[in-house]
Amino acid sequence: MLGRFGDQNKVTIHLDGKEIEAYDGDSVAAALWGSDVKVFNHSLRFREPRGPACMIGLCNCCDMIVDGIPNVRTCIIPVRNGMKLSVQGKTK
Amino acid sequence: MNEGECQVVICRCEEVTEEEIREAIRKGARTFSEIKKITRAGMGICQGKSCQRLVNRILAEMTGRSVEQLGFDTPRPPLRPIKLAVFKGTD
Amino acid sequence: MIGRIYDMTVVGSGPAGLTAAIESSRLGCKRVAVIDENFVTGGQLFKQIHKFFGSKDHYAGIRGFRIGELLLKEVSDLGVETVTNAAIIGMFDAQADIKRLVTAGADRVGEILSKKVLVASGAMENTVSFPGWTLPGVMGVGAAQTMMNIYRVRPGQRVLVLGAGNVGLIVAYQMLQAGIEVVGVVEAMSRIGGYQVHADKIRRMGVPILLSHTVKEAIGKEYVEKVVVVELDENQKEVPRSEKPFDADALCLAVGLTPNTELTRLAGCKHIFNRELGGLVPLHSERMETTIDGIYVAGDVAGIEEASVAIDEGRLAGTSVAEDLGMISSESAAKTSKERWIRLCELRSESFGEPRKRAKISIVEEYWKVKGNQMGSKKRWFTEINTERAPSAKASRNAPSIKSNDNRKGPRAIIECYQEIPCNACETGCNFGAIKVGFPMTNLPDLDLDRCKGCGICVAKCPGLAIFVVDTSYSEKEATVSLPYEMLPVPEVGQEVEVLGKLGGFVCKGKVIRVVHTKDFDETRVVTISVPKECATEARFIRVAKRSGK
Repeated sequence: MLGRFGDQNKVTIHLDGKEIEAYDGDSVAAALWGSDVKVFNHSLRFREPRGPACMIGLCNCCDMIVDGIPNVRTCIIPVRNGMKLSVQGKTK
Repeated sequence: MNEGECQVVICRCEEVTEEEIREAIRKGARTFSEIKKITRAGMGICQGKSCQRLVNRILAEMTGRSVEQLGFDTPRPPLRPIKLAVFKGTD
Repeated sequence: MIGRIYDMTVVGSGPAGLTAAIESSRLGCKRVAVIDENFVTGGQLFKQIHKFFGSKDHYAGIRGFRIGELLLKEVSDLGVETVTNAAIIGMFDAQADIKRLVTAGADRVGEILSKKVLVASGAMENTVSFPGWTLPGVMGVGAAQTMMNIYRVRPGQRVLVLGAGNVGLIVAYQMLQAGIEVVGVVEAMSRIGGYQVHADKIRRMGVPILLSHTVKEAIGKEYVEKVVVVELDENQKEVPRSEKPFDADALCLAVGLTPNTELTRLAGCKHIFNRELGGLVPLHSERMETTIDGIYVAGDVAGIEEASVAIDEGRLAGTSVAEDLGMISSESAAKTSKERWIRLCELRSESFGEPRKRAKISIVEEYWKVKGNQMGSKKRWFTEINTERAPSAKASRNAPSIKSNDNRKGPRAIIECYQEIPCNACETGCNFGAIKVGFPMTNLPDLDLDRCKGCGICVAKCPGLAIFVVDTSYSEKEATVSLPYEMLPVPEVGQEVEVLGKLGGFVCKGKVIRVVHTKDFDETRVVTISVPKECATEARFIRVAKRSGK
């Protein structure tokens, strides 16, 4: 339906030291989910795992630390080569 | 671990549980604003976008009012989180 | 952006916002900007990979994202300024002639001065709270759509959908197209909320629709691994010991949408709660203006409907802005706007649309109650529109009286569309005038068997994939069935296939004898299979066996 895929340039983003391959034009959340990253942050109070829920920047479930800045809604920002991501929040 | 129905969170951001919201209503909270001030539900980073509907449903059930009658709170700027440092450099 | 005063600033670059920007620019507005907090534009439109329903004016038969491409091009050609990655975080001087919008990007705040503001901020998916609902993998169906259709990422490998409204059913089908196993669609009500044709599309592919069921719990350590579904009795209470576990790595919630009214509430516009339209909606006139002069709304923020409505409301708002800025006369604005209202009423008809039509009319009436005598100069043309359909040449049309076992030789169409939904793509698509829908377009299609040549074009044209062509005279023992096919891999002539029935059950073995596709069919292939004659009435889908060795 949507035509060919895979012709875009690839970029490399970093998640807590691990290299992840993404496509130019991906949102950060999509790139991570597509690489089987499911846990984006841990909740403040009960320290539970959270991942994308709305994918349009309204629910904040996909928030991560991006290049040192916390609470970034990864579903509405594009990947950039060399971007550094971190899972936000402490685990149990 | 969360066990039982009332340990389910209603406010996803501040992780206010259903039981805490019901307790606030039992103590006299009658509007979303009041529940917000007591429990912090709706004060989190999404500012009630995810939970206001769910809280209103519990309010309606427990107070016998319809959701129509409950109304919604008034948002204040900023509508999205911004860094304080941003105010130093206006475009 | 400093110092310039915009004629109109549009908040949100979805179908409503884009069409409003286009319309106002075309009518003479010089400085128009569209702002979106996302880095991609188009709102929900680019996720709609299915063909739209409605009439030609409503882009029927065209896939949503293609409409989006057309709109974006027009926006660019007209010189409309598009700003992405910019969230509107506040509005000041809302009541003044020039409004002040505050934008925030990654590191900056900015200010936009604008004479008119259109809030086209769309909607947000609702949630349901059950144990485990915050686990990664529990997401809205719209989120799944974003992942699949914008970014080509699967939300999961085995997915359960909660909610059998149109959104849930359509996205379930799109998941099947993406090669995802849809383990089921669960619906709390005892009937399907969406169109029957959408349900049929997934049923014939074997997806069970569990009515009177709901999700009790989502289980998993770091993400969803299992979903427990439970049956509901007629009082919507859980039936004891009726829990059914499903292995699933994603649970997609299709439980409704709520308009994003933060900005309109912040600005001080009056709102009203309307269940039909999704909750709190801003009051607006027939010209899409809110109770604050110079602030307009269009699209889902003004009531949860569909893309075709958003497009027409955007045009309405754009026309109103142009009129209020003096670019066009009130007479010409009223003329085109009345036509658009009539078209909107056509969309909002019969059992699916009538409640929304009534709701929208009450919103407009409430607006005028609030505004009362303050609006002396603005003409109220709303009362001049006949929002009721003309008494139609409806005749008693129940299920079409086409029998599948009549003795007519040669192929002829069977139209399995039994609900009054606003759509006439079949009538428009038939080159021989064999299908009649007429006015209003919610009429059931009527097939003239004498005119029908069995060419199969309608099979590809029906956005609901509800038309089939059957030829029971193909040979002594066999009949052919032509069906619409939108999956990969594309079937090949000569291939042996498993033929499935309306509920996805195995009917018989068949062979592909023809595959037709033209540019006009836009990826809906018409696949003709030969089957034993007695299976022709049942045959509705095929399972293409994987080639051996792969």
